[in-house]
Amino acid sequence: MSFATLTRRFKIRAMHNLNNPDLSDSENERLYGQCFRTHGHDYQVMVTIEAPIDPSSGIIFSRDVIDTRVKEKIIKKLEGQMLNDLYPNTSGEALSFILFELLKNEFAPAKLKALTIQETRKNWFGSSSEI
Amino acid sequence: MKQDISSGKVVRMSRRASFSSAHLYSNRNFSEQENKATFGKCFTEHGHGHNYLLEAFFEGRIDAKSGLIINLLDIDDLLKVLTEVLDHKHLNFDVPEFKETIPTSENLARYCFLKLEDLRQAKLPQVDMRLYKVRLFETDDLWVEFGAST
Repeated sequence: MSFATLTRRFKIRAMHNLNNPDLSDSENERLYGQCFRTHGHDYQVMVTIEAPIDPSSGIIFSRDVIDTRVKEKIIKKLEGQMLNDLYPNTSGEALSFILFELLKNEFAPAKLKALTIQETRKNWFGSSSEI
Repeated sequence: MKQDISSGKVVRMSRRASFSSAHLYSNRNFSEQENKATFGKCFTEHGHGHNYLLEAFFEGRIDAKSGLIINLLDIDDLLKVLTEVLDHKHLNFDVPEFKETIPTSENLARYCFLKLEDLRQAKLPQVDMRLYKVRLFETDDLWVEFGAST
Protein backbone atom coordinates (compact mmCIF):
# COMPACT_ATOMS: atom_id res chain seq x y z
CA MET A 1 0.00 0.00 0.00
CA SER A 2 1.12 3.52 -0.73
CA PHE A 3 0.20 6.96 0.56
CA ALA A 4 0.29 10.47 -0.87
CA THR A 5 0.04 13.84 0.88
CA LEU A 6 -0.01 17.41 -0.35
CA THR A 7 1.29 20.22 1.85
CA ARG A 8 0.72 23.93 1.32
CA ARG A 9 2.52 26.59 3.36
CA PHE A 10 0.93 29.89 4.40
CA LYS A 11 2.27 32.88 6.27
CA ILE A 12 0.49 34.82 8.99
CA ARG A 13 1.85 37.83 10.84
CA ALA A 14 0.28 38.27 14.27
CA MET A 15 0.97 39.33 17.87
CA HIS A 16 0.52 37.49 21.11
CA ASN A 17 1.78 37.00 24.62
CA LEU A 18 1.66 34.06 26.95
CA ASN A 19 -0.03 34.62 30.28
CA ASN A 20 -2.21 32.87 32.80
CA PRO A 21 -4.81 35.33 34.12
CA ASP A 22 -4.89 33.51 37.46
CA LEU A 23 -1.26 34.39 38.13
CA SER A 24 0.36 37.68 39.13
CA ASP A 25 2.60 39.53 36.67
CA SER A 26 5.73 38.36 38.45
CA GLU A 27 4.52 34.76 38.50
CA ASN A 28 3.67 35.00 34.79
CA GLU A 29 7.10 36.44 34.07
CA ARG A 30 8.74 33.60 35.96
CA LEU A 31 6.64 30.99 34.10
CA TYR A 32 6.78 32.39 30.57
CA GLY A 33 9.92 34.54 30.60
CA GLN A 34 10.15 36.91 27.62
CA CYS A 35 7.00 35.37 26.09
CA PHE A 36 4.95 37.18 28.74
CA ARG A 37 5.70 40.43 26.91
CA THR A 38 3.56 41.14 23.87
CA HIS A 39 5.46 40.33 20.70
CA GLY A 40 4.82 39.10 17.16
CA HIS A 41 5.78 36.33 14.77
CA ASP A 42 5.83 35.54 11.09
CA TYR A 43 3.99 32.30 11.61
CA GLN A 44 4.28 29.66 8.92
CA VAL A 45 1.31 27.34 8.76
CA MET A 46 1.70 24.04 6.90
CA VAL A 47 -1.55 22.34 5.90
CA THR A 48 -1.14 18.68 4.93
CA ILE A 49 -3.93 16.85 3.13
CA GLU A 50 -4.04 13.12 2.51
CA ALA A 51 -6.08 11.49 -0.26
CA PRO A 52 -5.55 9.16 -3.19
CA ILE A 53 -4.22 10.80 -6.35
CA ASP A 54 -7.25 11.37 -8.58
CA PRO A 55 -6.60 9.44 -11.80
CA SER A 56 -8.22 11.97 -14.14
CA SER A 57 -6.69 15.16 -12.73
CA GLY A 58 -3.50 13.68 -11.27
CA ILE A 59 -3.88 15.74 -8.11
CA ILE A 60 -4.85 15.06 -4.50
CA PHE A 61 -6.71 18.31 -4.02
CA SER A 62 -7.15 21.61 -5.85
CA ARG A 63 -4.52 24.16 -4.82
CA ASP A 64 -6.97 27.01 -5.45
CA VAL A 65 -9.58 25.44 -3.17
CA ILE A 66 -7.02 24.88 -0.38
CA ASP A 67 -5.92 28.52 -0.68
CA THR A 68 -9.50 29.80 -0.61
CA ARG A 69 -10.54 27.72 2.40
CA VAL A 70 -7.41 28.49 4.42
CA LYS A 71 -7.74 32.20 3.66
CA GLU A 72 -11.41 32.14 4.61
CA LYS A 73 -11.11 30.07 7.80
CA ILE A 74 -7.73 31.11 9.18
CA ILE A 75 -5.84 33.91 7.49
CA LYS A 76 -8.74 36.41 7.46
CA LYS A 77 -9.27 35.76 11.16
CA LEU A 78 -5.65 35.85 12.36
CA GLU A 79 -3.64 38.08 10.00
CA GLY A 80 -2.47 41.25 11.75
CA GLN A 81 -4.39 40.46 14.90
CA MET A 82 -3.65 40.34 18.60
CA LEU A 83 -4.22 36.61 19.04
CA ASN A 84 -5.03 36.97 22.75
CA ASP A 85 -8.18 38.86 21.69
CA LEU A 86 -9.28 35.70 19.87
CA TYR A 87 -8.14 32.81 22.03
CA PRO A 88 -7.43 32.35 25.75
CA ASN A 89 -4.27 30.34 25.04
CA THR A 90 -2.07 31.48 22.15
CA SER A 91 0.86 29.12 22.62
CA GLY A 92 2.16 27.40 19.48
CA GLU A 93 0.85 24.15 20.90
CA ALA A 94 -2.66 25.57 21.37
CA LEU A 95 -2.68 27.34 17.99
CA SER A 96 -1.73 24.14 16.14
CA PHE A 97 -4.72 22.42 17.76
CA ILE A 98 -7.13 25.34 17.23
CA LEU A 99 -6.21 25.77 13.56
CA PHE A 100 -6.44 22.01 12.97
CA GLU A 101 -9.98 22.07 14.41
CA LEU A 102 -10.93 25.06 12.24
CA LEU A 103 -9.83 23.27 9.09
CA LYS A 104 -10.46 19.59 9.75
CA ASN A 105 -13.82 19.39 7.93
CA GLU A 106 -12.90 21.68 5.04
CA PHE A 107 -11.39 19.17 2.64
CA ALA A 108 -13.73 16.16 2.79
CA PRO A 109 -13.58 13.53 1.46
CA ALA A 110 -9.83 14.23 1.60
CA LYS A 111 -8.40 14.14 5.12
CA LEU A 112 -6.62 16.95 6.92
CA LYS A 113 -3.62 14.86 7.91
CA ALA A 114 -1.64 17.45 9.83
CA LEU A 115 -1.38 21.10 10.68
CA THR A 116 2.09 22.32 11.55
CA ILE A 117 3.05 25.76 12.82
CA GLN A 118 6.51 27.20 12.67
CA GLU A 119 6.50 30.02 15.19
CA THR A 120 10.15 31.04 14.74
CA ARG A 121 13.08 29.47 12.90
CA LYS A 122 13.74 27.49 16.05
CA ASN A 123 10.38 25.99 16.98
CA TRP A 124 7.58 23.96 15.46
CA PHE A 125 4.25 22.60 16.73
CA GLY A 126 1.89 20.14 15.13
CA SER A 127 -1.53 18.60 15.37
CA SER A 128 -2.38 15.49 13.44
CA SER A 129 -5.40 13.38 12.69
CA GLU A 130 -3.28 10.40 13.79
CA ILE A 131 -3.03 11.57 17.40
CA MET B 1 37.80 -1.31 23.88
CA LYS B 2 34.83 0.87 22.95
CA GLN B 3 31.70 -1.03 22.08
CA ASP B 4 29.77 -0.01 18.95
CA ILE B 5 26.11 -0.22 19.99
CA SER B 6 24.92 1.07 16.60
CA SER B 7 26.21 -1.78 14.43
CA GLY B 8 23.38 -3.73 12.83
CA LYS B 9 20.70 -1.31 14.00
CA VAL B 10 17.99 -0.04 11.63
CA VAL B 11 17.92 3.73 11.22
CA ARG B 12 16.65 6.31 8.71
CA MET B 13 18.40 8.78 6.46
CA SER B 14 17.60 11.19 3.65
CA ARG B 15 19.39 12.76 0.71
CA ARG B 16 18.38 15.66 -1.52
CA ALA B 17 18.69 16.29 -5.24
CA SER B 18 17.33 19.03 -7.46
CA PHE B 19 16.18 19.38 -11.04
CA SER B 20 14.55 22.10 -13.11
CA SER B 21 11.71 21.20 -15.43
CA ALA B 22 8.72 22.60 -17.27
CA HIS B 23 5.22 21.14 -17.09
CA LEU B 24 1.64 21.95 -17.90
CA TYR B 25 -1.58 20.71 -16.35
CA SER B 26 -4.26 19.73 -18.81
CA ASN B 27 -6.56 16.76 -19.26
CA ARG B 28 -7.49 16.46 -22.93
CA ASN B 29 -10.77 14.77 -21.95
CA PHE B 30 -11.79 17.87 -19.98
CA SER B 31 -13.39 20.94 -21.54
CA GLU B 32 -11.43 24.20 -21.27
CA GLN B 33 -13.74 25.22 -18.45
CA GLU B 34 -13.19 21.94 -16.57
CA ASN B 35 -9.43 22.26 -17.00
CA LYS B 36 -9.53 25.83 -15.66
CA ALA B 37 -11.71 24.79 -12.73
CA THR B 38 -9.48 21.82 -11.87
CA PHE B 39 -6.02 23.25 -12.44
CA GLY B 40 -6.51 27.01 -12.03
CA LYS B 41 -3.49 29.00 -13.15
CA CYS B 42 -1.53 25.78 -13.83
CA PHE B 43 -3.69 25.24 -16.94
CA THR B 44 -1.89 27.14 -19.70
CA GLU B 45 -1.03 26.53 -23.32
CA HIS B 46 2.72 26.14 -22.95
CA GLY B 47 3.17 25.51 -19.24
CA HIS B 48 5.67 26.88 -16.75
CA GLY B 49 8.68 25.66 -14.81
CA HIS B 50 9.99 24.92 -11.33
CA ASN B 51 13.22 24.26 -9.49
CA TYR B 52 12.12 20.99 -7.98
CA LEU B 53 13.79 19.70 -4.83
CA LEU B 54 13.54 15.98 -4.19
CA GLU B 55 14.21 14.43 -0.79
CA ALA B 56 14.58 10.65 -0.69
CA PHE B 57 14.06 8.93 2.67
CA PHE B 58 15.64 5.55 3.30
CA GLU B 59 15.51 3.03 6.10
CA GLY B 60 18.35 0.58 6.45
CA ARG B 61 20.71 -1.40 8.64
CA ILE B 62 24.03 0.00 9.80
CA ASP B 63 26.68 -2.17 8.16
CA ALA B 64 29.17 -3.68 10.61
CA LYS B 65 32.19 -3.02 8.39
CA SER B 66 31.50 0.50 7.07
CA GLY B 67 29.43 1.82 9.98
CA LEU B 68 27.06 3.25 7.36
CA ILE B 69 23.77 2.18 5.82
CA ILE B 70 25.36 3.14 2.54
CA ASN B 71 27.86 5.60 1.14
CA LEU B 72 25.98 8.80 0.27
CA LEU B 73 27.80 8.95 -3.05
CA ASP B 74 26.09 5.69 -4.06
CA ILE B 75 22.74 7.34 -3.35
CA ASP B 76 23.83 10.39 -5.35
CA ASP B 77 24.53 8.05 -8.28
CA LEU B 78 20.95 6.72 -8.09
CA LEU B 79 19.53 10.23 -7.80
CA LYS B 80 21.58 11.36 -10.78
CA VAL B 81 20.20 8.58 -12.97
CA LEU B 82 16.70 9.50 -11.81
CA THR B 83 16.96 13.27 -12.20
CA GLU B 84 18.94 13.52 -15.43
CA VAL B 85 15.86 12.18 -17.25
CA LEU B 86 13.85 15.09 -15.80
CA ASP B 87 16.36 17.94 -15.55
CA HIS B 88 15.99 20.78 -18.06
CA LYS B 89 13.18 18.97 -19.86
CA HIS B 90 9.54 19.69 -20.58
CA LEU B 91 7.99 16.80 -18.67
CA ASN B 92 4.83 16.59 -20.83
CA PHE B 93 6.78 16.23 -24.06
CA ASP B 94 10.22 14.82 -23.19
CA VAL B 95 9.46 12.12 -20.63
CA PRO B 96 7.55 9.11 -22.04
CA GLU B 97 5.76 8.38 -18.72
CA PHE B 98 4.12 11.82 -18.87
CA LYS B 99 2.84 11.70 -22.43
CA GLU B 100 -0.49 10.37 -21.10
CA THR B 101 -0.15 11.03 -17.35
CA ILE B 102 -0.33 14.68 -16.25
CA PRO B 103 2.99 15.62 -14.58
CA THR B 104 1.39 17.08 -11.46
CA SER B 105 3.61 17.17 -8.40
CA GLU B 106 1.62 14.21 -7.07
CA ASN B 107 2.27 12.10 -10.18
CA LEU B 108 5.87 13.28 -10.34
CA ALA B 109 6.45 12.29 -6.70
CA ARG B 110 4.95 8.86 -7.39
CA TYR B 111 7.16 8.51 -10.49
CA CYS B 112 10.26 9.42 -8.47
CA PHE B 113 9.37 7.01 -5.67
CA LEU B 114 8.74 4.03 -7.96
CA LYS B 115 11.73 4.72 -10.25
CA LEU B 116 14.13 5.33 -7.40
CA GLU B 117 13.14 2.14 -5.58
CA ASP B 118 13.55 0.19 -8.87
CA LEU B 119 16.98 1.76 -9.36
CA ARG B 120 18.00 0.94 -5.81
CA GLN B 121 16.97 -2.69 -6.19
CA ALA B 122 18.76 -2.97 -9.54
CA LYS B 123 22.01 -1.21 -8.62
CA LEU B 124 22.38 -1.87 -4.90
CA PRO B 125 20.69 -5.24 -4.31
CA GLN B 126 23.25 -6.23 -1.67
CA VAL B 127 22.50 -3.28 0.65
CA ASP B 128 19.98 -3.89 3.44
CA MET B 129 17.83 -0.81 2.92
CA ARG B 130 14.59 0.42 1.38
CA LEU B 131 13.16 3.69 0.13
CA TYR B 132 10.16 4.47 2.33
CA LYS B 133 9.10 7.86 0.96
CA VAL B 134 10.03 10.81 -1.19
CA ARG B 135 9.18 14.46 -0.60
CA LEU B 136 9.04 16.61 -3.71
CA PHE B 137 9.07 20.38 -3.34
CA GLU B 138 7.52 22.18 -6.30
CA THR B 139 8.07 25.49 -4.51
CA ASP B 140 8.86 26.45 -0.90
CA ASP B 141 5.09 26.70 -0.38
CA LEU B 142 3.94 23.45 -2.00
CA TRP B 143 5.20 19.91 -1.64
CA VAL B 144 4.03 16.33 -2.00
CA GLU B 145 5.03 13.20 -0.14
CA PHE B 146 4.59 9.78 -1.69
CA GLY B 147 5.65 6.56 -0.07
CA ALA B 148 4.92 3.11 1.21
CA SER B 149 2.46 2.82 4.09
CA THR B 150 4.09 1.31 7.15
